[in-house]
Amino acid sequence: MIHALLFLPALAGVLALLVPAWARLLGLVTTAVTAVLAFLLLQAGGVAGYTELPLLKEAGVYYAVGADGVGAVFALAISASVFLAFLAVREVPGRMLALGLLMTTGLLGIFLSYDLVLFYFFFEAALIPSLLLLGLYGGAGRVPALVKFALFTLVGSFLMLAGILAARYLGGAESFLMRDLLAHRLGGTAGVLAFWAFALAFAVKAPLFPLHVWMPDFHAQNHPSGFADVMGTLYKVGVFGFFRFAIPLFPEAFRAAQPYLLALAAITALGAAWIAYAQKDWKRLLAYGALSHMGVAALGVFSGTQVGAVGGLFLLAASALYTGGLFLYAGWMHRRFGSLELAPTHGLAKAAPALAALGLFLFLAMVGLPGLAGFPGEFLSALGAWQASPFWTLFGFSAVIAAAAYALTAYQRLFHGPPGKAVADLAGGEWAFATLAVLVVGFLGVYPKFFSAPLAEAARAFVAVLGGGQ
Amino acid sequence: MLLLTILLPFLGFLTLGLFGRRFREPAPGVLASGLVLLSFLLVVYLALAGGARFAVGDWLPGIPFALLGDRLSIYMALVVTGIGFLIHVYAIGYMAKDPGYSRFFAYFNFFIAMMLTLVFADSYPVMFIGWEGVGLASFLLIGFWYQEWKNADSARKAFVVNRIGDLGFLLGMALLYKLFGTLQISAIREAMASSLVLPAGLALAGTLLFLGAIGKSAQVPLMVWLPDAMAGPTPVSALIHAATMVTAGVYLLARSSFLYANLPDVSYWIAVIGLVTALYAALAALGQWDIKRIIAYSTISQLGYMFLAAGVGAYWIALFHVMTHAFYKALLFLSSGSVIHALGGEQDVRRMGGLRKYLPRTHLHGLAGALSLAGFPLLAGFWSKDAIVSATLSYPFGGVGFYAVALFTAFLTATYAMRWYVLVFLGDYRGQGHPHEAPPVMTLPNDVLALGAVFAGFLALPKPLWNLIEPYLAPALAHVEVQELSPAAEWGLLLVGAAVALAGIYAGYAFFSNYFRRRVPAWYQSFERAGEQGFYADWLYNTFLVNPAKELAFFLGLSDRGLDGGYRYGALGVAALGRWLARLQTGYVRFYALLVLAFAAVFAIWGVIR
Amino acid sequence: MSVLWILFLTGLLAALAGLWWPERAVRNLVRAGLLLALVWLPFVPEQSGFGGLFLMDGFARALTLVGVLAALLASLVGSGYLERTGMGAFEYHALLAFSTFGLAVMASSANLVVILVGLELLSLPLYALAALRYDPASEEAGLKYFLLGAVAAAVFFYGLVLHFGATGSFALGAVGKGPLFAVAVALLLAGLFFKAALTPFSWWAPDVYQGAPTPVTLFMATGVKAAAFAALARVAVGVGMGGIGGAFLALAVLLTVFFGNLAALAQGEAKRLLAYSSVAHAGYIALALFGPDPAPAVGYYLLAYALSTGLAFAVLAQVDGGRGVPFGEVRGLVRRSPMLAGMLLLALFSLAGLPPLVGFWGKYLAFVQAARGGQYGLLAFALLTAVVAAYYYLRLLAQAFFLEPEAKGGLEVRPLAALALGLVAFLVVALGVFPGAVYGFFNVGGVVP
Repeated sequence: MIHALLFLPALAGVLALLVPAWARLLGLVTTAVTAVLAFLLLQAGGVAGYTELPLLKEAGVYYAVGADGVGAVFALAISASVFLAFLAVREVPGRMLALGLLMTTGLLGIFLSYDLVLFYFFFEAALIPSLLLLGLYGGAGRVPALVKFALFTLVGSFLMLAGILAARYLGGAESFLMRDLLAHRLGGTAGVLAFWAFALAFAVKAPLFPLHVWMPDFHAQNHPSGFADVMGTLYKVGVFGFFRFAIPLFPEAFRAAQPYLLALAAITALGAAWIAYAQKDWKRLLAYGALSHMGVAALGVFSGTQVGAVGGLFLLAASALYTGGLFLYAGWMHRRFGSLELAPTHGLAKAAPALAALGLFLFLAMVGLPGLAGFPGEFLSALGAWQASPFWTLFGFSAVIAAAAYALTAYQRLFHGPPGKAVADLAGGEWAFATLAVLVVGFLGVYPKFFSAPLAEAARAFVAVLGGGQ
Repeated sequence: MLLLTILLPFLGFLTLGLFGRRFREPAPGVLASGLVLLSFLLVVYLALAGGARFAVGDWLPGIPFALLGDRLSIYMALVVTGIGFLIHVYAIGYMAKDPGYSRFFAYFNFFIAMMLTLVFADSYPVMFIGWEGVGLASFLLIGFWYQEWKNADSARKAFVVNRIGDLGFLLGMALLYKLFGTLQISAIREAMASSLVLPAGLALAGTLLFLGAIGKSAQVPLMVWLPDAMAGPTPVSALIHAATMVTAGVYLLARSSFLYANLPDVSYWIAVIGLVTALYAALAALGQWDIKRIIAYSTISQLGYMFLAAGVGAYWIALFHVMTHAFYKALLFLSSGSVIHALGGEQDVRRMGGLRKYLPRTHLHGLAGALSLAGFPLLAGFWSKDAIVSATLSYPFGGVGFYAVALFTAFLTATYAMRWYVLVFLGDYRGQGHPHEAPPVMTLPNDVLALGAVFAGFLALPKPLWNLIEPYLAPALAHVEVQELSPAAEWGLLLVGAAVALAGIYAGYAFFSNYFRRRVPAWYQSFERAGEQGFYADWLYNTFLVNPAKELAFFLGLSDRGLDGGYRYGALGVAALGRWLARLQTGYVRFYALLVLAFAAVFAIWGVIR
Repeated sequence: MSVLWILFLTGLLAALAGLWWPERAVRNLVRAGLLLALVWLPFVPEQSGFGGLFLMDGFARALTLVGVLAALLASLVGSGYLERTGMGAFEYHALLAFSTFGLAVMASSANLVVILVGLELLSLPLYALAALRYDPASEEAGLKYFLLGAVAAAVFFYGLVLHFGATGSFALGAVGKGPLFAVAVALLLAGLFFKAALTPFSWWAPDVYQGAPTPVTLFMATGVKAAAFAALARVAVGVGMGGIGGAFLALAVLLTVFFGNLAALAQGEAKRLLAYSSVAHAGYIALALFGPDPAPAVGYYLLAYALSTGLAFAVLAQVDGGRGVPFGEVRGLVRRSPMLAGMLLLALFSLAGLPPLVGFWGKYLAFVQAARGGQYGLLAFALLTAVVAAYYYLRLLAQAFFLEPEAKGGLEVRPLAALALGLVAFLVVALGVFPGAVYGFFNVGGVVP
């Protein structure tokens, strides 16, 4: 089951590359199926579907996959996000969608791998479709943006490869299986260096200040439909990487680094939200907004507490849904106005009330309004972060004020004020996306237990490694 | 049952929000009002049944989704749904023919649902859902007429300023979670009761929660959003920005009274903030010319009184005042609404006057409300306000200083209440309109409210007379040691209070009834101008906080570009190094051969000397 | 032994047949011979002959396989280029076959003299091949390669002599010490560093790669590299990595990854760019020699590298009209031939070491050996320079994919060449997803008996 979940998107992606006309349908069907599979895995509990097959046995590399609570939650969130993306896009190149499907396998693999090299394999494998999405379908400045994205990613991940090798060979493990590595942890100076190698890679991918500079251009240059941005949002797996790999493998080094990491996360959270206020373009606004969320999520995970880790991961999974939704929403705006300018007109709520309501809903989720999907993660992150550092919690969570300012300003500039140029309200298929997005985001806000219980289960081991904390 | 109370108005919100435009007037209003009435009846039933509980375990890890219908929440819910219902009914008339008719009632029902969530919450995060939910409702309703930029800006201002307080609430919860390992209110209360030593950091937690209350209840220094919130339709001002939502801060303090009763220092500052707010807003109210802004400042001032009461430890008195205030302030707003309605949108009191002749019914409502606000003896406001003023002497965290300032503020209150009444209803009509009385759907709710504004105070009278509220609420509130005053002293203070109120009423009447016919002293004019600007609080915030923050956003954006440029230059440096290295590749064979031999020699020599 | 015979006879027959038969026949003869060798190789038993001078062990078999594969690819994709540029066609194939024979000899011995003989057998046809296009650029390349190759061969020869002086043996693995042995090691390694294109002996590579006909460059970058590393691995392990040899190698790796990658940044010609990339990759392969079990890593890396860079050069050979491949020629390739562009993409991403392509596993295995050898500093440095490499690969890709073409019209690819390209591209992906499929073939014992 888990193998089908993992490789179905890739198969569908290859098929879609060959027959681009089918891409959208294939994508919808595939991600619907993977969503169901992920849901079943979520229900199974434990590390569902754990499989260990030699991939390069002599070198200690295994195809080891399984879905614990975190893996299943993210598999579901990824499937749902990609499904929503397929639902939202209209009249886009089929091959672009095919690349998205190929990338989905890489993304799922990141969350389901239990072998460090296999994880790295998926981590990097997702990069190629991501680069192609940007390079083939991006805007005028796509090449510099692409180069920047690639180089930042590769600096981090290549160093992480050295860290991965060190973790095994200096630590004396038999293989790259997580269970082996956790039984032979690398400590001392080598452990610290290896930890920072991991940390660098994940800080680029989180992203955290000051390694985030690739991100605004990445989003600004991607295809205006927002499809590639959804994939890019899902690719921001750094916080998860800290949770699953960097911290459990090097707990001592993490303890020493914790104050600095908390500071970076807090600076990211507040700084990005603040900068978002000054943006005049949908993609850049959302990029900075999402960046701020990543800082908050990182605060949760860096707290080293169970509740904080659950919060950080919850936020990561949920934000993919509504941030992705907003990117797609921005795509609709582009279809209507032919530009990504934030406020090409004003007073639009008069002509397009449903569009306005959907926008407000998604923005409010992003702001972390309680009762919507953005809140539980943010809230639990705060609970955890406070236990680690009240000061950085205060600093980082001041972002909630800035978030309200940028989100509402952006919303009001377009929808409030005297009616200007009128465009079509939600129509036809857009209603399907809107309904589903609202249901999913609302459901997670009202009944967060659906995600938080499995996450809490998985986070218990994380805390046990660090020794204590709630 | 509890859930149903909340879900009914929420259902109304969903129905009206999705399909509202298919209903014809006044169906949405009737539907919305009916649902609130049902909720009200459910709460009454709950009150008679003696409360209820509802919980979903591990809603978040270790945190249940808990609702609790105890006496405190039922008391508050009665106020919310009761007054809320009346204002819903009033709005059926007030909002008639507005293009956003059904949208208005959708928001209104949403507000009630969120307010009930806030009230019934037995877990701080659940309360926070309601807390931010009412904030959202407030945002939506202030900006209801969104086509005016001014209204949209006011709405955003309200939300953002509230968020500052909400940050305090959020962090306060984080600290409480650290201290107690749970956020269920009743569980924390039990933990506090059973532990002998208070955990360190409790005072900070109390302060942070209080910060949330400051934001929501528009206390100094976060009071600036409330006057601007008058941009919304008048029923909104009555329901949200007077009777219910803004008292959520007081409710939070009362709900957490077990915390604050153990924190004398924090309580002291709550009282100080309350008193400063009460005084500040009373002074500012004297400078307002907008009929609604006068009442808005008065609301801030009255909320200050409630905080004063909560600060000195008199939680039940604070809640008593919440109730009486809900009656007379809703009444004042709704009669203002009738006046505005009658004058076709005119809000400046300088172009009113003499409306007693044109709007006899509304005049009576206004008079009842104003006198109750002013503390005219035996009216509702008199009893609750005087209970607060005397509580500063008898309750544990009080003091004589508090008493004096509170009394002085009571004088000012009476004065500006009369100013409002006199400028609107007495004298000659100074405008050009043709005033007409409101329809019954608007006056009938006001009749009920007027009854409340006059008689609600008799629910809790000083000893030795009856007091129904204190014993009713006692189980839900923290127990504080009260230094009982002798009945003689108590009644003496009451007389002093009555005298001050009457003096204020007379001063206001005498000064303002011929305000436009004589020269006003220059010092008073400059005071009035300053008061009109809220003593420049907005200007100060804009100059020193808001604008710098906006500028900083642009500056940070530029810095981010700068950081980007830094990386770029680093990369360019590597490229330049690469170009320089590539120049070694001259293309001359002799040079290459030389290099090969030279390096072979270097290797050989290195090997030898090693 | 049988493979050597196959290759030798192929070359001989091709040279003779060229006198009477048409080019077409010679071509097919060579291809058939190479294919036969390729198919036969896995079934060749491990053996040694001539009193230990000939040694067909697992390592030799693996690297010969890579070399023959490279030669076959060069032969298959070269025809179109030959026709476009009017090069001597039958000589191309015959020389290729001879060179491959030399390659096999070089890989199949642990004796220094035989290695030298193999080296010359490999190199002499290559000098001619490099100059085969008869234009100044090509002649310059051939001459440069010849002159510098002679210098390097001399250095190696001198090292060989000193080795005999220090140990009394030409066989690798003989124990020696003292200054004489150290100088011998220095010179032997320097000679092989030259062939493998490790800085500071790599100066010839960019000029020769650029000037030589593109299919020849393909062979140089893949087959020659395999042979050079076969010898280098044996020599390096034979003289011992613990002593001065390890220090030489470490310095060379450091300089190679630094110089190769950084200098590549400044290039505006695709073949020259890949030449620098080839230099850099030599550094990564050499990293594997630090480990306790270098043979599989070196072999697998060379396979991965041969497939990837072979694919890249094969694509360039289709684009090249005989004047090299400045970036302008590659521009907008995706519009002219999506298939070629897609293959270039696979090749370059594989060279950059990104999964799920075979290049990742090559790098991975080499780095594992470096890690097991404790060379973490070198490893981290090499990885950082790999980021620079990723940049210039992306630059080339950006030309091919994201810019409008200068030249109009499609590109014609011969069916056989297309088949070969498709097969290699398939292997690049398939071995990336299932690295274990052929790993067993490379998982052989030591490199020195």
